[in-house]
Amino acid sequence: MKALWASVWTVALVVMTTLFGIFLSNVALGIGPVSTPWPRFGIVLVFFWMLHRPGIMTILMIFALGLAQDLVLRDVPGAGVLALMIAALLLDRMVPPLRTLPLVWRWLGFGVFVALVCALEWVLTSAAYLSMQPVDLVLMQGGMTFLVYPVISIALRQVLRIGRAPRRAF
Amino acid sequence: MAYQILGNGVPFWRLIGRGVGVGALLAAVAIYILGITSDPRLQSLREVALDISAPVTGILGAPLRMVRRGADDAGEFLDMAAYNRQLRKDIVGLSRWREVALRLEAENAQLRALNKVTLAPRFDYITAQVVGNSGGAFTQSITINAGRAQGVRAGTVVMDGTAAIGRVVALGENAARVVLVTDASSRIPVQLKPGDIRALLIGDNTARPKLQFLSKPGNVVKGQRVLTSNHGGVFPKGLPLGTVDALVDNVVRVAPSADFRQLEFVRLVIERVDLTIDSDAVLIVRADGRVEQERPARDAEDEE
Repeated sequence: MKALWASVWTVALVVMTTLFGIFLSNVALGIGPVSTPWPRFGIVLVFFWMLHRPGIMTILMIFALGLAQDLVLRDVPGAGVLALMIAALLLDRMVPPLRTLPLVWRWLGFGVFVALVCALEWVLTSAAYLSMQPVDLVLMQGGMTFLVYPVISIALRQVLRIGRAPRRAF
Repeated sequence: MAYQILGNGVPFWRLIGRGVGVGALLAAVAIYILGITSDPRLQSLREVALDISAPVTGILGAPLRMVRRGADDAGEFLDMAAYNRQLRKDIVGLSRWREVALRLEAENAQLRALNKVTLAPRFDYITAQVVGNSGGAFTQSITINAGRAQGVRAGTVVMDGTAAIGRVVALGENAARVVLVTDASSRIPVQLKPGDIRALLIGDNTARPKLQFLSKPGNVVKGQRVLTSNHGGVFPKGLPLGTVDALVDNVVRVAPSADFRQLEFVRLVIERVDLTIDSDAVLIVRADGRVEQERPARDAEDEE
């Protein structure tokens, strides 16, 4: 029973934090093409949970959360979810070895992931509008998303430690 | 190739995981295709998402907006001396314009009186708060906290204090999504004044949308005012949008008058419809100009 509650709590944590990130990306701070785009917290959280809870962040979960992101953020529906799923499948082999590496390496791994997602979204959106979309905003948003990863990663790892037995000093 | 993301464990579950993964991928492709073709089936899903996301982002954004407002106030405080100088200069210019406006207003009233013109106000306004932005780099849109329940309709024009900024494209019960004039999907029929040049204002996700299909391309000059025209029937005529900013490589760019960074409250222009026409009714225009409906006989029978 305890194990069941633990797994329910973990699934809820993964889903709720990712949805929270998606909604946070939608907050009206800078509006329009002249403002700095707000980071895509949803992408950060998808990668973090792929790394630390791969059993929950499966392709089906990425599909559901990516679709929620597309509907909330109102990009071309399907472009965001497709980009996330393709990037996750392409980097599927790179992710497991990163788990045991220091934060800097995980951060670099995330850099590859976010670059791939942004590039795929750019291609899919340009194809949808039949015209090349401006690259500068994508680069800025991708950069901002890349920069926030360590902060979120450190904070969420602290959350994951809650309830765990403290490490022995020796 | 063993994908972790498609499921692990015994071969049976791995097979199931792969089946589900491939199914999800195909579903994503299908949604993308439906999104490109603007399929109406996606519309109801988006409306649900709009109604859920608007209040959540409104609450999440409140503290962040306070911080931003504080930072803006601090910045303005530091620039106060420069602001004062600029305001004094503006007051001198505006007082001259005030004299001109008063003279024109008096002349206008005289002419109306001569022609016995009674102008009924054609528009109602609703003020709404901006609670969300597009969040993406490919879409220039905002979410506002007014929807169907407040009388907003699809296509309703949205303005900041002075200029048109976009139109409503998706409606929830208490929220609406507004596509800005800078969005890649925005197309607005416009008029350039002076010169009475007709054109189409096309957004391309940059800060300065472009003008295409100009009726007199040779007559376009920098500084001309860009106003909405009611061609197509979506935008009312004469709402300011911006000014012609640059002509580079035969592409005319427009600088929008609205400051998109400062959008906190917007005004929705609701065109007033005084006369509702029954689809089966006959419209009668009387000799004195009054318009009336003659309702069909079946309605009279129903009432009895």
